[in-house]
Amino acid sequence: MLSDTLRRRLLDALGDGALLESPEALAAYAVAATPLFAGAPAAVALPTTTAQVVAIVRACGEAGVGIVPRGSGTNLSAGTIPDRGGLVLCTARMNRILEIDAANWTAEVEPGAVTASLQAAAAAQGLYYPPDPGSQRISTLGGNVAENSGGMRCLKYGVTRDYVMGLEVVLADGSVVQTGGKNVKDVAGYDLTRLFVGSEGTLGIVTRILVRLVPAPQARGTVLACFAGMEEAAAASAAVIAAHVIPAALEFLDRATIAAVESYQPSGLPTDAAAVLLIEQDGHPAQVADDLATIARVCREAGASDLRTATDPAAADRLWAARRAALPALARLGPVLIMEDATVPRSRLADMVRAIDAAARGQGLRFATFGHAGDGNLHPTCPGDARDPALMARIDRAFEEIFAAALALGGTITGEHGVGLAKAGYLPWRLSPETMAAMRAVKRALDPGDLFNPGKIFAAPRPRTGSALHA
Amino acid sequence: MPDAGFSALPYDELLTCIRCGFCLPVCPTYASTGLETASPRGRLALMKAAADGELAATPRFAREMFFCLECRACETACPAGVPFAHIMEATREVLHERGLSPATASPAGAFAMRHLLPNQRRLRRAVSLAATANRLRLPQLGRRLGMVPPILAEQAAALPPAPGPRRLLDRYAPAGAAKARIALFTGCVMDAMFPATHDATARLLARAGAEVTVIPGQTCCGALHDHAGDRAGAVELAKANIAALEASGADLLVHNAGGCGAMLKGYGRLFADAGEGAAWQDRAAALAAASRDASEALAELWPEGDIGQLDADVTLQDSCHLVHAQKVRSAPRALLGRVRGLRVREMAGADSCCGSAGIYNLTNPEDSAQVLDRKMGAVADTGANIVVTANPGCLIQMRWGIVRHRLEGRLRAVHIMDLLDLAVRGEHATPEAGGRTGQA
Repeated sequence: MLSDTLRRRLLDALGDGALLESPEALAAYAVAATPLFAGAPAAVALPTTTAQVVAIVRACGEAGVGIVPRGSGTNLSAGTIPDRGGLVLCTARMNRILEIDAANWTAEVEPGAVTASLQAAAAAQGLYYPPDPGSQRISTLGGNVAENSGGMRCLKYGVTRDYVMGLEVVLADGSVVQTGGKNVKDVAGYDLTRLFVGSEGTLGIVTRILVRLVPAPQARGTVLACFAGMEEAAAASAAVIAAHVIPAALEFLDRATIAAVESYQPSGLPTDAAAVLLIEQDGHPAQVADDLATIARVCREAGASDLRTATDPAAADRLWAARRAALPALARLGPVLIMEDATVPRSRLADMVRAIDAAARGQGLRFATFGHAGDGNLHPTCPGDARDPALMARIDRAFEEIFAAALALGGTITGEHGVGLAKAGYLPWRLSPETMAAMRAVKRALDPGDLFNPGKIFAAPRPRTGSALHA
Repeated sequence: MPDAGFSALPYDELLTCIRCGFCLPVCPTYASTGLETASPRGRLALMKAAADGELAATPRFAREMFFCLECRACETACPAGVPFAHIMEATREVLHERGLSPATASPAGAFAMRHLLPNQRRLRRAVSLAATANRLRLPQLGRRLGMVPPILAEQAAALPPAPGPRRLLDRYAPAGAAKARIALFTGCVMDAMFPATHDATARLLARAGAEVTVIPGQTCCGALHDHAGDRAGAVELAKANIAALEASGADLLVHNAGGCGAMLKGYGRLFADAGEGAAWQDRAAALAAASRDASEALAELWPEGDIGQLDADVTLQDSCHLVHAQKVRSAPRALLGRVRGLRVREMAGADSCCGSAGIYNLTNPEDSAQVLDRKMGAVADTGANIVVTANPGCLIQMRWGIVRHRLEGRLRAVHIMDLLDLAVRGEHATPEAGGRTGQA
């Protein structure tokens, strides 16, 4: 419940219909895309201007009420769950695309602008915004910035961080700062832009975003290759890179994912294959043709059993149907789907897939793994059921082993989903006490009152259960 | 106060939502409000909270539930296969029983559901009364006197003129040996307002080689009752339709209203949910299995070659319950593609609701207008001069959009069966005009 004073201040700033306190609204904003996490806020605010955000920050700061920023609630780290109550600040109504600057190849948007809308607006001018998180049709740019979102095109094009040129941010004291700008080169002072990208809403509220665009590729084509063993698939993806081809996407599906896809929506994949690689290239038509030929040759040499190449969009689309079907196919296996994003250097891909299988088997579970082979970012997934605590505990143990294995291989606990609440206990596994202390110092300096997204990222380390793998 | 009625909600189905949010970008009410509570994911969270005893059956909860258009676009977008409408209808049934359903709680709504929709004679008289009132410009007069809200007067002005006498044969003979025996489903609003569309549908199907009968004893499909939460009312009507089809001996039951079709194809589930005995469940499932949209049947039966010819720019507005509930997306497009000379312009968001949504435009006129205004923008972007629909509600709503956006004379709303009939007849009447191939 908000105090009367705070409610009055918020209503003065927001006007009617933009402050929600009904039990129905609180129930709707208590959950988001991360399974198993919930917590009702005291209220929900839907500002439309930076000035309103400033007023919210000042009012909540003085009342000591935490602010949980939220876009479309599609993150997978429980980063938008108000587990400590407080005010949800939802940017859904700050969704304008303010400018596409075709001369400087930039776009300026409000934080609630949907990723796919920006991509469409850029495409209308022959430009391209490459970051493509799985939820791009509804994810917001504000959320992408907060989580430093990735996607399939990262190997060639990089992640959200590589496209953000400038930000407008409301700080904890209500001041508004502008970082960066349209200059390709600009070393005037600290790179605050990069500090805020990936800060998961814990350092300030982003109210404007300036991103870099690139020319849209003229052509694209895809190779689908099936392999009898995971080793061959991993060797093939390594060989593609070794041949100095940087594909626009290099995705893989493991045996369990292929089986799930084929039983949900048969796409003609051989169910005896241990792995399928989907490799896309884009760019100048001649370069694309050349690279696709190289990719096909390399895959054949690596032992691909089935090789299909598509150069027209419709045929390529059919090849990608299997990858697109992965999430729906797996989502139907149980009431909840636990999907993680353990990541390793790409040379350790096969080792990581083996470690995932071993961890799952150790708990008597069957995992399905798919993901971005080109950047070693894997999505081990497991169907679960919140009504079965014993099952959920086994899944939790398996993932603990998976994260430990990723770290042992020189990898990380999260490649693109973020820390939020879901990985907070694991963060001290990944970072040294000194690094954690440096991050806490940044948080304290910018948000001394712990106003923004309290409880996210920083938590006590999760004790190691002590498995056979890591005794 | 938790409501025990909600314990009957299908809990396993509620748990299938993985909360990914992929339904948000296709939800018309989320698009117009930006509110999680007005999104499918949010509504599922609310229904689950109700089932868990955390939310009660209050007027506010009912408002959230009836703000949903039930267009079912979320079901097409959902990766996890959540049967959203099924859960929503179970929730609305509880609200109906508590007197919180806007359609059945008002005396006028309850009267229409019970005495108008199931009775063709009364419904036709009501329609012609409304048309007469319209001709005398009574709604406009009422608006000026402050007795009729402007939005209602605008809706009334968009209603079609009185349809004239119903010229529908009992039987339409096929050209040659019958390829199929089809019973034509006539429904309620469609029959009262657009009887000529039924005649066109029957003639097209007969021309394609089917024997078509307009079977006696059939009545309203019960969809409006079911959406309003009145499941018992829906079952009663369904039983009459099942008996009528069985008595006819037809192979297929063909309908030209997307909403009715979705309901008829869902009879099996309706009877299972309503706890009807195994015998009735089997009979309901048999009717569901025999049901086809007219576009499906026609696409299958029409012989090789063109379906007439027409010189026009058209765009298709999908019927939500045809595309999202019945999953019929390609048949209407394939039919339009076979009309010689027709320029078909695909609309952005063609499968997004127009705001008609059964009687949503009557229960929530302002909300419906918001959805409609976005839709009319998309129609305008196509440059088409005919917007083609496959459901009477959409047809009336498009007519409202045309009046509301002052597009009379530049844009027409036409049922797909009427358009195809026009193409076939036009070609037949003037074979030389467009008949470059020399074929009739």
